[in-house]
Amino acid sequence: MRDINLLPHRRAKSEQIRKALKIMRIASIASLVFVLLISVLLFYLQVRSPLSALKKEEQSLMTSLTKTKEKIEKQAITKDRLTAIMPILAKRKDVSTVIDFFMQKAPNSVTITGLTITTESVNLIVNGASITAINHFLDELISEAAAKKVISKVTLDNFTADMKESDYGFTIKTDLVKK
Amino acid sequence: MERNPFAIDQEVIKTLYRRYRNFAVPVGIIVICILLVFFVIIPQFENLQSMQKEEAETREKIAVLKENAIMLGKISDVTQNNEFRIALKSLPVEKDFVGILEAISTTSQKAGVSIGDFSFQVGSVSFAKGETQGTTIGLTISIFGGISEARQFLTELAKSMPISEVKSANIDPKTSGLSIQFHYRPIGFSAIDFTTPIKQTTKKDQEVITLLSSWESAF
Repeated sequence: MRDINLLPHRRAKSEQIRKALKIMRIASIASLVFVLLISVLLFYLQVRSPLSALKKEEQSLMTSLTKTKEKIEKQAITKDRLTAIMPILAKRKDVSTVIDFFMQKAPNSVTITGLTITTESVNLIVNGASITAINHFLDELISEAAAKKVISKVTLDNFTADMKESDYGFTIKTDLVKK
Repeated sequence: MERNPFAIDQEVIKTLYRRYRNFAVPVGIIVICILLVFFVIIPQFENLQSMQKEEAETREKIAVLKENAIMLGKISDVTQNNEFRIALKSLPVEKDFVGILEAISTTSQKAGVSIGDFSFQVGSVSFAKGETQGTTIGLTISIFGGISEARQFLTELAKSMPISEVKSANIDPKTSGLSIQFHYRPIGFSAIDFTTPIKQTTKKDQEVITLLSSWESAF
């Protein structure tokens, strides 16, 4: 019959349990210390937070600014208006300058009898007694169209001539340079 | 009767307790610590983070509020009222029919031209809440006079308030028909937020104010 000695095995097992118990105790103390330290740290950080003082300061500043609410509103409205006005002024065509442009280009013997101005073009009805003066006026407009400062294109729509009376009339369409 | 080797009865529990009772306390402590981490420490940590975030935001707001207070202190009431009046007169918040009629009347007097019939293209009389887009009121008007009178009228009109834009002009030797658009702009904000930086008037704004003031004083 074979002998079975259980004693060393039991001792080894109890040794194992003791070790495990020791580890468990250390782990439990470590986790307790960890939780305690973290809790204290979090509590300290939360207590030390200046948030409530900052909120009070914010509230007091808000209260003082409420007294100047009207001033703030006026400033905001003024700024809003000015921001909107600038592009309107920059974009709008100065029609009187457009009229001046054509009047200055027309020689004395040429009369502009009608003008139709839109934001994109100007139609002119012109009369004159001298074909040379009319030609000069057309040349001026063509060179201006080439320069593309005020007008960009000239189209002669209609031309009538009464040779006996020396009366010449024509209508011109000019395209304005886009702003 | 044969006993089930896996059955857990009272005897087994007692044996296990006797054998492992020393583990109960440390295991209990570890379990409690784990529960504390998940149910107390992590939420507290998140709370601290949100507090720090709120703190940073509040600091920013305070900085803006202080800047706003300093800026407002620098603005003189007289200057501000004057700028506000001119800005509103130039670009009213609503359809300013009275202002338009005054502008037309004064323009015709200054240009020395008589005005004939005129009609407004009113359009919508209400606007959507928060609408900030520039809007216009159309006006067609006939004036008596030739090119020079029309030119004079248009020169004066360009310097009148509310701000206008000539869309078309049909100028004949005796009468001229003008299509004009007067601008207005609804207020685009409903409430003042003190924590938003107040926009200061820039150099360009000042130039516009100066230009508009010169028109007003000449008008």
